[in-house]
Amino acid sequence: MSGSDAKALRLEGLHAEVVGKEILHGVDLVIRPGEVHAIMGPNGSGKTTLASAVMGKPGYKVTRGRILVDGEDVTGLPTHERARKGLFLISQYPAELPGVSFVDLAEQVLDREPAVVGSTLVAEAERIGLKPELLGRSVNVGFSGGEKKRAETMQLAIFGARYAVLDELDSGLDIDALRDVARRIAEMVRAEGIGVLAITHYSRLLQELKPDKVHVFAAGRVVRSGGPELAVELERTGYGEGGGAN
Amino acid sequence: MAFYGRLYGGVSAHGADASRGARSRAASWTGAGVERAFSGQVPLPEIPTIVVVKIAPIGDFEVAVSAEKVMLGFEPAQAPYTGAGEPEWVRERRDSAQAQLGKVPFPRTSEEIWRYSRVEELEEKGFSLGQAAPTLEAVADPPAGGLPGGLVAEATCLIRVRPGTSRAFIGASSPVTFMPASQAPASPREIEPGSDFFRLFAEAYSPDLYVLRVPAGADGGTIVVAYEQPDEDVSFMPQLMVEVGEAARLKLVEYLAPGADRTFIAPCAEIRAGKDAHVGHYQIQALTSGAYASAFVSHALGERAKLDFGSFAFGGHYARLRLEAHLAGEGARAELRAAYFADGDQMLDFRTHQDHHSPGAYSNLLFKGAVGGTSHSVYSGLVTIEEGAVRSDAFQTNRNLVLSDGARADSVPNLDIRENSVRCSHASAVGPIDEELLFYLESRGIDPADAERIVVRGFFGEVLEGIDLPEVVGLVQSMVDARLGALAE
Ligand SMILES: Nc1ncnc2c1ncn2[C@@H]1O[C@H](COP(=O)(O)OP(=O)(O)O)[C@@H](O)[C@H]1O
Ligand SMILES: [Mg+2]
Repeated sequence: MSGSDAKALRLEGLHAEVVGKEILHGVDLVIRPGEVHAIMGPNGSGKTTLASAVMGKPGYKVTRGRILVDGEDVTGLPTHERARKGLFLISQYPAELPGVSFVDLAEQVLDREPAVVGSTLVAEAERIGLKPELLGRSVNVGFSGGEKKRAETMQLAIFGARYAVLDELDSGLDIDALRDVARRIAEMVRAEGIGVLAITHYSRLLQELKPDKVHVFAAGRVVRSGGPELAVELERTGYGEGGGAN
Repeated sequence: MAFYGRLYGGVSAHGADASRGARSRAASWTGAGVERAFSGQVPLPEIPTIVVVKIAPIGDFEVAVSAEKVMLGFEPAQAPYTGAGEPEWVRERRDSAQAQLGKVPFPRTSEEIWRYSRVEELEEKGFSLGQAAPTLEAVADPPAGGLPGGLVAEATCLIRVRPGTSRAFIGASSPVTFMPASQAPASPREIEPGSDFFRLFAEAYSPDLYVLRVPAGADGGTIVVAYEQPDEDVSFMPQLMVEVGEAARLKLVEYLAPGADRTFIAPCAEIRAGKDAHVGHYQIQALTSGAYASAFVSHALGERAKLDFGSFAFGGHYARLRLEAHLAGEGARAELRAAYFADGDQMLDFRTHQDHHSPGAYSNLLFKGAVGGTSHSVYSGLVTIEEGAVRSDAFQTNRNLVLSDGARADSVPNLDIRENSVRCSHASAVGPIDEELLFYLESRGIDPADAERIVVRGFFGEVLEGIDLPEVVGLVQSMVDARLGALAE
């Protein structure tokens, strides 16, 4: 096994339960730097549970298996330490933080002078198409779906993440915003070599993100894996045919 | 996170009333129920209510007791201040308060409005009454020593009031006058003093009565009044009557300085804002943890007058604020805010009344609190829309964060609407910090203690928005941070 020490986000036989009920029944995935993996699967199949368990969200308990970041076991670590090891989650419905601006948040996360933080934020906001005047406002409060996902992508770009888990990045935003955030993430994959685990229902996101691998998820496990062509097939045939059999 | 808290709407503070059942719409929620309601993406529950109800006005007591009984908490053997040599109008004010006091008993926790108060401890301890007639010393420089630097920097006039004395720095070009009531021309009253025991008591017996005036059309700048009680075991009931003339401007900051630990302070501020006047009024309560306080603030707003009021309460063993905003003139507007943060075994107690008696007036109350340790807070508020006050807008919001298992917050909003075509709502919430917010911050690499600090700071941030006294905002933020620092230890 040249295996578990190599640079990758690695899930090994991951089992997880929510309120005492097992939802993930053994998930194995290896996402290397510079790779994009897509997870597609029907509602209720456990995709959000997977994303939450990887990030260590309270209430999502890993009962068996491991999560490794570049060879290091993070399964028992609290969320903030996982983040510091390079994990980054964009939730389907990002939380709103009353009274906490992006500037406050970035100053807390990036240990740099306020002037540097400010210029970093403004530059990235412009690049991702987020109005810079929103940077002084409370994080995500009163934002449109598109603004929220742009703002999350902005954070992904500046907070030094190595592996991004995107839970339905494509929900709740219009086509322009979807294209902009997907292109920006694709750029980060190319230029900075981040690894991406993109959970989605639709192949539109994947047209921009260009996954290396597509995994079909059903009832808490990966039931089929393939190349980008699998996404196209799934879009045509649905999960019933593409997923269930394998 | 387990905690104890309650949330309910429409519970009257005034005993049995048959009509009340109709508006008891919000349930009493405890424990897990509240926790569930506040987790995830579920917004804090609003209790949108436009209900027409009739309830008795606050403090409609029928119990009559003798004047001697009234003195119980205050060393009955001691003769009260008599105010010899005071002008007629002050004399009358004292007489009428004394007459009313005969009808208002010393507070008991068996009364709803004193339910969680610590008046009985206060009574046991016994504080003597001030006796010295107030003197005023005018000084050429701000008497700054020991006050927060930000407040001093902000002040165009700075007044320090202690029992029996005051020192006032009035900026050279200031149009403001400040003097003991005994030297001031008559200051007529538009709003009757009501039946708050300590207010009446202060009116009847406190020597420390001052009048602050801003003439019509003038800009009074920023006036900081600091109240200080350096002596143990003595009560201090400074009363400030403020008259803001027509179209005048004033920013008034009251600072309840830490002072003696064993003390009782009952500051009463009575503000009259004339037609088109603009008033900012902020009260910062920084008492030591052993002090008892019962503050009274009343605003009477004339036609189109604008008020921005803020109470920022952190100190005291037991500290109460009773706030009355009387929207007396057509089109008057009031923003009423509070940020309070209790810790240890403190009890912070807020009673508010937004009283609309004229058409087209607006009042918006936002009180936000946090409780840690085994502390307790109570918010109980009433909005009344009197007959004739058509086109009134009145909003009342109270939100509380319960930061530890032993802490508790109660929230009791009430509406009493006697007019149609008005817009009123109240909302209240009690709960722990939203786990989703903590997770969000932690998933950005912020450790749990910092995440909690950021969320609480943000929670109070909303209350401080739009206050245009940066030094006051900074001071309040630093007081919140100090509390958070203490909780973390
Ligand atoms: N917080 C939760 N409480 C109870 N059940 C949950 C919770 N989160 C997920 N589940 C259950 O776990 C299963 C998978 O849900 P989820 O991971 O959200 O699926 P997906 O994201 O694929 O739609 C569902 O049956 C759901 O009911
Ligand atoms: Mg999901």
